[in-house]
Order: sequence, then C-alpha cells, then structure tokens
Amino acid sequence: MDAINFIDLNFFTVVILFVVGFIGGMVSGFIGSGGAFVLTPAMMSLGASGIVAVASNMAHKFPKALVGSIKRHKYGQVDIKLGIIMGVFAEAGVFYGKEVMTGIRALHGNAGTDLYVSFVFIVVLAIVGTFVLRDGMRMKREGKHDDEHVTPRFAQWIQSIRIPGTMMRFSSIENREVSILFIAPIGFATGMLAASIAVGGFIGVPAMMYIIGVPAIRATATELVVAFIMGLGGTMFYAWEGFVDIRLAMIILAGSLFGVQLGAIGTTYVKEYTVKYVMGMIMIIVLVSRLIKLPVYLSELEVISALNPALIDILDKLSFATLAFALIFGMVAISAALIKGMMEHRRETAAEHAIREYEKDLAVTSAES
Amino acid sequence: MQKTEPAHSEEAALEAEQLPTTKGFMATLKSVNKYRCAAGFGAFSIVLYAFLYFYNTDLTHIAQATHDGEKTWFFVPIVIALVFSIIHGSFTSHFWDALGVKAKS
Repeated sequence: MDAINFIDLNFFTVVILFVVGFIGGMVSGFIGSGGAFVLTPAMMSLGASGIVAVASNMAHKFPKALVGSIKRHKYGQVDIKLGIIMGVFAEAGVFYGKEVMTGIRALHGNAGTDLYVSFVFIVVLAIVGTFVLRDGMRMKREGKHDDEHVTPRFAQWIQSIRIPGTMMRFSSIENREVSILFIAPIGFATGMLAASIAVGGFIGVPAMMYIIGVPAIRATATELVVAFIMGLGGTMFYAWEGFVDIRLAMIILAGSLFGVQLGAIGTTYVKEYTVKYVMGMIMIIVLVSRLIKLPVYLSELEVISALNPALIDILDKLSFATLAFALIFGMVAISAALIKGMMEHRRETAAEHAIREYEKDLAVTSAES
Repeated sequence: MQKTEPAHSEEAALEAEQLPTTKGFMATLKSVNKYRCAAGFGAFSIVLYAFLYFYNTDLTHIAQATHDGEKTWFFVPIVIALVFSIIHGSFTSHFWDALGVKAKS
C-alpha cells in the first residue's frame, strides 16, 4: 500500500493556514462561496499532495458551511427547502464531476485535468462574473435596494411555466412555485463545478438569482446549505479512502469560522448590489489568474511549443499572487462595507433615540404646564 | 371596578419606577453573560485544539491505516470536524458579539 504524504506542522504552516482560512471564510460567509480556490493551491504549496489538499479542504468546508448557514438562518436569509433539494442534486453532480476528472486524468494525465479545470474556470467566470457585475452596476445606477427586489425577466418566465406534478413552492421567491425540473440541472451543475474547481457557488448562486429569481442575499445564504450537503458527502467519500488530513482542515477551520461569522454579519448591513459587486469583482480577478496559467498547461500538453522554465515559474507565481489578491480584495471590500454599514446604523439608532427623548421631554413639559 | 382601578394605576406606577432598574440589571447580566460565554467557549475551543496538537501523529496514523484498508475509524475526521465546528463556531460567534460586532436587527 502507498504512503500518504502528510505535511509536518510547524509555527509558520499553522499561521499561514489560519490567515488564509480567515480570509477565505470571510469571503464565503459574504458571497456564499469562494475561499476554496486559494486554499487548495495554498495547501499544495505547503507540501500537501493534490488529493489530500482537496479532501482536507472539503472537510473544513462542510462544518464552515453548517455554521454559516445556521448564522444566516437566524437572520431569516436561508431557504432550507431549496437548499436541501439543490444539495441532493448537487451531490449527484459531485460524483459525476469526479468521474469526468478521473477519465481526463487517465487519458491526458495531471496536465489534462489542470487544463480542464482552468478552461471551466475561465468560461464560467467570464460569463457569470461579467453578468453579475453588470447587474450590480445597473442596480446601483437605478438606486434599487433590498426591499425593492425585482425578479429578473428570465426568472419570471421560468416561474410562469407550469409542469404538473413537479411544481414546488419556495419561501425565498415570495412563496411562488417553480418546477423541480429547473432546479435539478442547477443543482447538478453546481455539484459538477464543485468537483471540478471546488467552487460550486460560482454557478449555484447566480443561477438561483437569475433563473429561479431568489434575491442575492438569500441566494448566497441558501448556497451554504448546498455547500454543507455537498461537503459532507465529499468528505465521507475521501475519509473512506483515508485522504483527509484533519489537522490541516481544523487549523483552516479555526481561522475560517472567525471569518465566516464576520462575512455573514456583513450581509445584514449592505445593499444587494454590494454583494453583487464583490462577487463579480472576485470572479473577474480569479479569471485573470487562470488566464495567466493557461499557456503553462497548453505547453505541458504540447499544444503550443515548450515554455522556458523561468517563464513557467514567473507565470506560476503571478497566477498565485492574483488569486491571493482576489481574496484580499474580498476581505477589504467586505470589511469596508461592514464598518460603513455599522457606523451608519449606529448614527441612525442614536438619532432615533434622541428624537424619542426629545418627544418624551416635550410631553413632560406640556403636561407640567 | 372602581376599587381595582387605583390599584392598577399604583401597580403601573410602581412598575414604571422599577422598570429602568430591572432593565439596567438585565442589560448588565446580559453583557456579563456575553463575555462569560465567549470566554467559556474560547477555553473549550483551546482544549480541543490542544488535544488535536497532542494527538496529531495518531490522527495521521488513523488516516494511513484507513487508506491501507482498515476502515474501523474512517469516521473520526468527520466527528472531529462536527465537534470542532459546534464548539469553535459558538466561540467565534460570541467573540464577535462580545466585541460589539453584531448583525443589524
């Protein structure tokens, strides 16, 4: 039997994993996904093998999603029914996605799966990222807020299609009905993407928003339920094979649970377009990072002529730095939105309190006179 | 009715007088509990992580044994993940609460 490569824990490793976990947690608590796309490469750079990195990442993800979804359920943002239904179909997508990955690996080796992952990343992020960002900008321009959520036209059309025996009612779309036949492929695609690039939410969240008509804040919260179901299934699969390094997973969890709580709190202070802005920007930055890496994979598969090793090294570092930038951007944007929102809220509360006191004083004075 | 009305208004006046004190006491109790909860779950969380550190070699042995075909303890990582998420999750929630970082109500 072959030995699994478990990395040695030292102070440096622990601090790096904790910090990356914190930032990744904050982004996923806010936009319902993310974090994983930089955690897996980070673990691999610290010496973990690819499969141990993916397995351990999943083991930290499902408890984080559980805590995040409980927290956001308290704020009334989670549609549990939709999350569970999508989660079940996503689980099927995860297993199919794994089969696809294994097949490509058998045919073209690791370079083949790397190219496949990058290609999926680029296509998905280019379409979804641009769409989400444009929608966020439009909402800001038109001055729409959370309480003025307008169901997208395509979602209205989907909701109008009645297929007898398949209709289900969901609280997140104001108790309207949608056919489960539209939810199944969304869940399946989310799971398949999660198995391929570890960030299923990049499809799940926008699909819930634009196809089913769920408001952005509720879609990001419901995605956490989907992530929990997918993560639990995936972790059981990997744990059965002994690939989960629970030490790594729990150190990341230590940081990410601080972050996920903060991200979830942040959603209660921001406008819907802010969530879309942050999500869209992160997607575009991740897209750039994958584009930088594309020539490396193409040269490994001999589709283009071989690249200079020094150039490959530069492209590797540049790609990783761009990913790190995506997370840091997310952290700064969320922190800024949270601080601004909290300050505004405190000012409003103080003003309301002052008005109440003034009215009370006025009532006492008039009663005395 | 006529007899009970003054009693009611006396009670109401008494209640109005006592309310700020009771409210103040409850607020103090709540804020003390907030810090105690954060400290309690924090301590529990530290104990869990200390165990993880002391038994870290055993955990890698379990994973290797599972990989080699001995599946008896395959569920250990899942149980650890769930326990840590509940305890550490409660700590982080109370931690931000104690720092005054709360969701908008």
